[in-house]
Amino acid sequence: MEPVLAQVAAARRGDAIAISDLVRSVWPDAYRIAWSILQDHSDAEDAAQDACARMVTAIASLRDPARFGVWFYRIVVNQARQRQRERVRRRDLGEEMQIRGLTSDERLDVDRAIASLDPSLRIVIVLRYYYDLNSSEISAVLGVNAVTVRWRLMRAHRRLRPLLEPQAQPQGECLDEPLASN
Amino acid sequence: MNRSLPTSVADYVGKIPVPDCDLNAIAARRHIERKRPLWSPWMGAVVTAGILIAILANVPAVVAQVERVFRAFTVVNGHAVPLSVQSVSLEQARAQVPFTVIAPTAVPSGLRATIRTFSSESDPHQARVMFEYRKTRADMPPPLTIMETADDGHPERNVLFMTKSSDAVSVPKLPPVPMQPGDRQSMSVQDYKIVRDGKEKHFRIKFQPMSWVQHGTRVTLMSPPDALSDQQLNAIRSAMQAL
Repeated sequence: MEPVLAQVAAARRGDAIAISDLVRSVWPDAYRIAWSILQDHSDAEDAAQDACARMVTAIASLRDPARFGVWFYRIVVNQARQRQRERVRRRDLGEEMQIRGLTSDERLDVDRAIASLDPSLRIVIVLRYYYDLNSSEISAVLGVNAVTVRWRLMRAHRRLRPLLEPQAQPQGECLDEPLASN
Repeated sequence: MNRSLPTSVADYVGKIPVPDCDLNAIAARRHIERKRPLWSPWMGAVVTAGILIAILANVPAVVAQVERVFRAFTVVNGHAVPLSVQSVSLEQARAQVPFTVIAPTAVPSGLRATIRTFSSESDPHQARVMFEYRKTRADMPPPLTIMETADDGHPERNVLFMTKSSDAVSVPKLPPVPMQPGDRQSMSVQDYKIVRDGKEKHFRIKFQPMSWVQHGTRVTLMSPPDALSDQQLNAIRSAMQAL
């Protein structure tokens, strides 16, 4: 997502064209983040649309346009989590997780392994490696502390390590900061 | 597997098929006036609530099945039969149901399917597969729905009532079910409830499904009026029948 600051600033002032352009520019990221959590097209699209709608409603309250990315990602994550909770209530998530459970098949490719991660781990590695956020920013997006973020990164890495090239993945490489000793 | 984690994650995220950005759908979630480009804060519609689909095809008796998405059950002659609903892949669907799943084909581009299986542990013959095609979440009703069941001499299984509700508490009132063979054959009804500005609005759509039997599977193809052209529907049917 590369909305320019001027675009965000214009959107904050209520410029309709700027808002439409902003929504278009953030839409792919909204959907990808929602998908990373929900793994379902319909739910991800719903969550992304809700997030965009909420963003438009709340953008006037955004104090620092430079923080737009983290601010918007958090909206998306919250919308996706809300939909996830609804799905759990409908007893659907458990079924899907069971379907997508990681098997011991050594030929399982990395994509499937990533898809099979717990959503809390998957979203962390997506934010870290696709959106290039650091632990502090991921912490702000997810509403958890930075130690938890780093711990989740480590867990995700441990789950995926067997499928990755050893020399390209020395232990701890996935972490942008050293893991706290605890 | 010679990929680094960042590369793998980038590949994974890059493969996610992002649908087109539907500004109207987003605007609808914010109660937006479509004619105005402005995103005023209190305009728009929140579409929630229920969907009721009734597929009535060649029904010889009063056998109503009520299925709720995620909390489904069947009512056969007044007796409730629990149904489980799963969102699945095509391969998973094929593994779960005791009949041949005919993969839809020649579906217009831009429509994406959600595949669900409906099954009952106590009665495996209740199994069915539903392909629900939508372009966006705002597509209500979905432009295309394809239902597949075993064609084993039980045409009552062609009757389906499905509710999709966030609360999923109350059983919807069932629309009239044909009492006699041949009565209102092949009519489908979709009921919608839209909540707008705190007020509920109900509307109903009727349409005629296409239905045929292929490899022991009854395939029922449904599309609301004006959603897909007859040419498109016939193309889907012809392509599927050629499989």
